[in-house]
Amino acid sequence: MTHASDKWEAAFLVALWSIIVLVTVITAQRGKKYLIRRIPGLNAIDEAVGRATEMGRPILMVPGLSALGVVGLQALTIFSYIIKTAAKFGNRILMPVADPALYTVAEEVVRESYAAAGRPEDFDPTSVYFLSDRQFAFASGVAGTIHREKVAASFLFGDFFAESLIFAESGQQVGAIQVAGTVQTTQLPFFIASCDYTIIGDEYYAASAYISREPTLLGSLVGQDICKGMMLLIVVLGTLALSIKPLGDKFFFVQWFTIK
Amino acid sequence: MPTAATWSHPIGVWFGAIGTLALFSLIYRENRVYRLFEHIFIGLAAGYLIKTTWTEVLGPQWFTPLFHDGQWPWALVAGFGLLFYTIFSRKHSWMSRIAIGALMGFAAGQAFQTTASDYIPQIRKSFKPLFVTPDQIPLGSGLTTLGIGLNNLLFVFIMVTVLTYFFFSFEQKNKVVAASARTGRLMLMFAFGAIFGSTVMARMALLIDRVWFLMHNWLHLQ
Repeated sequence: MTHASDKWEAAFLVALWSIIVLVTVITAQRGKKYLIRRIPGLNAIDEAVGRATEMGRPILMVPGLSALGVVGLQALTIFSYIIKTAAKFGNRILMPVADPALYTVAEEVVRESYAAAGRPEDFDPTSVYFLSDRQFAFASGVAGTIHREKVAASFLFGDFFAESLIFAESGQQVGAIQVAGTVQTTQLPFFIASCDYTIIGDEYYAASAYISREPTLLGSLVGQDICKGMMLLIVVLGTLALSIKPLGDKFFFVQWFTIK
Repeated sequence: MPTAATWSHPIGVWFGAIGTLALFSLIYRENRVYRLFEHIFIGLAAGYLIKTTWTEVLGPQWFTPLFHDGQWPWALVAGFGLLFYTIFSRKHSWMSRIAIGALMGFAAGQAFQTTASDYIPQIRKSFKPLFVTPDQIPLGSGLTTLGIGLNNLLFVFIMVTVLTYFFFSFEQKNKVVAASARTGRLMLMFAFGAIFGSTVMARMALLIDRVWFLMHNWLHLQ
């Protein structure tokens, strides 16, 4: 594995991108207004919660097989928003978890979300539960829950693998409105085919900024966009450099990005 | 430790066959047999988790270094890990946040390392010559300069359009940007279609394996 310390160019880029994100976060916190474009899948969250309220059936939230990392925490941030909305209407929620460490955080997040919604007494500790860390044991438990509880809305956010279609298909069978999002490219086609709305790729990381509109998160998102723009420019320049015969792969710009 | 030979015993085969059919019964509807085997499955997995936690993590990485090799600092790790369990006590649950915070810190730190180790090499690999000379063609590949050039052009085009789709901080109203983002989305759907097809094939292989087990190992049909 390459470490930033192995090549100063990599360290420089990591530091530069970090500074850009920090600057946009600070400017957002100081009142600069940043925009975020519409992401249709995320607008569907309120619609799904509303439908669960009308039907009087529970809302299911599954963070997949996510461990305690960036993907799992992002899933919990999205679930926190859903819980706050659901708490206002008194919806029952269910959250089976597959990772023991994430389970401890998930319970805290759910409790705090109810408190933030002004309904701490509605928090039911049994609504968040550890099922199994074995992929298909977890899948059989979640599928059983979906069928027994006849969930009205199913939110699938996090790391999903071969069990993704088992969840989405079970949700379809009970007529649940389903919103899914994952960064696992191999599972996205299954969610697109079987869910009502799907958050694809990087939209997953933009979700928390989009639903909360919190200046810190919006600033971070803008910073990341600037970094993406820089990467795009670098790739175009690198491609041009390699395409012009006198420059080639010995050109300093190409060499700069070549990490041995 | 159950071996393949143990599970090829008739009791193991019968248990596997009934378990498979019980879990497949969900396709028809949720029922008591499914529920029973779902709980057996989860119970077995919990037992397996406890066993593997000891044999693969706590035993070799903590108990042996601490008690056999005398590496006493590992005793501190146990105290740190036990902080997670304080979450079950209303009075002491605040202590679990120390352990959770530390784990989140590790995850954030790793994200910086991943940027250096994964993403920067990806940037370099995205530099592809649009005009290829014969000396750049791998020997014996049968490729042509025009073919590689077109392939590289397609790669850069798709990369630029897909990346445009994933810009969030402005409305994509500009005609060029909107067209690029729309094309990027279309390219993503092409890719997802291909992934869907190949993954379904892999899932069919799993189904065939189960059907083979039922027909060959259980019913002894040749």
